[in-house]
Amino acid sequence: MEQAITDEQQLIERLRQRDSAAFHEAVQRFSGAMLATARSMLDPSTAEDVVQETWVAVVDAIDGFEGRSALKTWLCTITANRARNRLRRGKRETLTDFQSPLDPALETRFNEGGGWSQPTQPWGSESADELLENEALKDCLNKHYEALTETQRAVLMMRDIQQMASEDVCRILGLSNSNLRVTLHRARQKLFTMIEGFRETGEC
Amino acid sequence: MLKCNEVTALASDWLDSELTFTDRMRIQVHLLMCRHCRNFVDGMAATRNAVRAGIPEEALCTADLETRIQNRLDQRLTGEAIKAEPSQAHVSAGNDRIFQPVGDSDDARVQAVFADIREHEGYVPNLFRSYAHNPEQLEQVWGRVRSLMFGGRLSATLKNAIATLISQDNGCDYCVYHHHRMLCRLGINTNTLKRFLATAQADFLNECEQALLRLVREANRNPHQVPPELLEEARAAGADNDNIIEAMSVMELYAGFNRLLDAFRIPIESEFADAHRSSL
Repeated sequence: MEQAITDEQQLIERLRQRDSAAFHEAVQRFSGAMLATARSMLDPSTAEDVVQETWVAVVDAIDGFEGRSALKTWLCTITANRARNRLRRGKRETLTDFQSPLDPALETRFNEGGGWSQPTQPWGSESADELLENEALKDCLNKHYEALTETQRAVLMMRDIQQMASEDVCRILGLSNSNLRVTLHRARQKLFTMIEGFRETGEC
Repeated sequence: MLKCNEVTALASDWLDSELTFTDRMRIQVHLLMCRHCRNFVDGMAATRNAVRAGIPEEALCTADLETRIQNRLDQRLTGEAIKAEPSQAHVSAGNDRIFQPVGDSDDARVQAVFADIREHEGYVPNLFRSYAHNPEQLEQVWGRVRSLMFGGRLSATLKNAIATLISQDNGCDYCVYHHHRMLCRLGINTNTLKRFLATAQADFLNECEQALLRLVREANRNPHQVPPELLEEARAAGADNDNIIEAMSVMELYAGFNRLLDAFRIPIESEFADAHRSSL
């Protein structure tokens, strides 16, 4: 672990000196993660453009890197900042996502008194790894991830998968902290419902 | 006592330890007694873990894309990118001007405004020279810049940060260059500014100013979908309606300038063009 940290510091130092070999190495190591960040908001070809632009911007921006986060996380933050600017949504998409913490599919599973009318069955003690040994379930999870709204996907990618600081995610996506919490919760509920359905029917 | 649907609504906050002590206790009590909610919360925890483990945190970067990135980077690192892209307005310093800013004017109103601009800015930017084709609009526009950027209640640092970030989001190099320069003159460290341009992290502003910046940035990027909570956050951080309108006015004024400057590819003034080129 310590070795890894020293390696990263050396890499950063070389990037600051605008060392071309260091940039090549960094591109190899980090472009995949940056692409995943950009893809959470954009179509594949625009996402590639953004990653490319981001690297050019990094040549200058690297002096501003303070090492508060890992280099990879920081590069993904810059990518997300640029990706978000390419994302222009129309007037029609509504803001209801932030107002209600429950996904419509779950909301209907309660009686008038707020108790469960269609409760969830116990999931057993399977670990995530055991759960994901089922390739069909894993594919289905990814399919449903792709089907989330852009904001839900971006929040899930940055918070749950890449584990960026919530402060950074809020600033980049233009969300308040409560918006972020609701969006994350809604995204997880969608995937919860999918896994639950899969366990019951064996189908995606 | 919390109801099941309320516990369900708070499940992620519970799992991520985002709740106050009181709410935590209330949920704990409910979970002790409610098997259904326990099942739900366990299922959500399993979902969170499955997401972490099952959705790749890296997408496949093809060899082709990697090569394209490497080539662009090599160009940038050797300074060739600037020569290779003459179409950028800021680089050609006016060679492809399609709309001429006014040099000297015989119009008394324009002369008066130019004199006032020189007094405040030290020179007359091409932005105002462009407006000078219409003396009435020049007076109005300069009047707004003067009252907003040299007056008002909000700090000059915040207002230049708004002008910089809005212009960067809108892709206006002219305004980014000038307001970035202003932020340097206001004493913000170069590396802090590099960080600001890359990630929008504005730790040189106080909490209230940062909340205003977030709000007006979103109003520029996505006006139909500004979450009302951003306004609440700005208010909670201490901004009043007077502050909010002042910050929005800066955003709206520069968003307009960005359109005019970019549509007519108005170049950076020749006295700054070299400095701008070398800062690229």
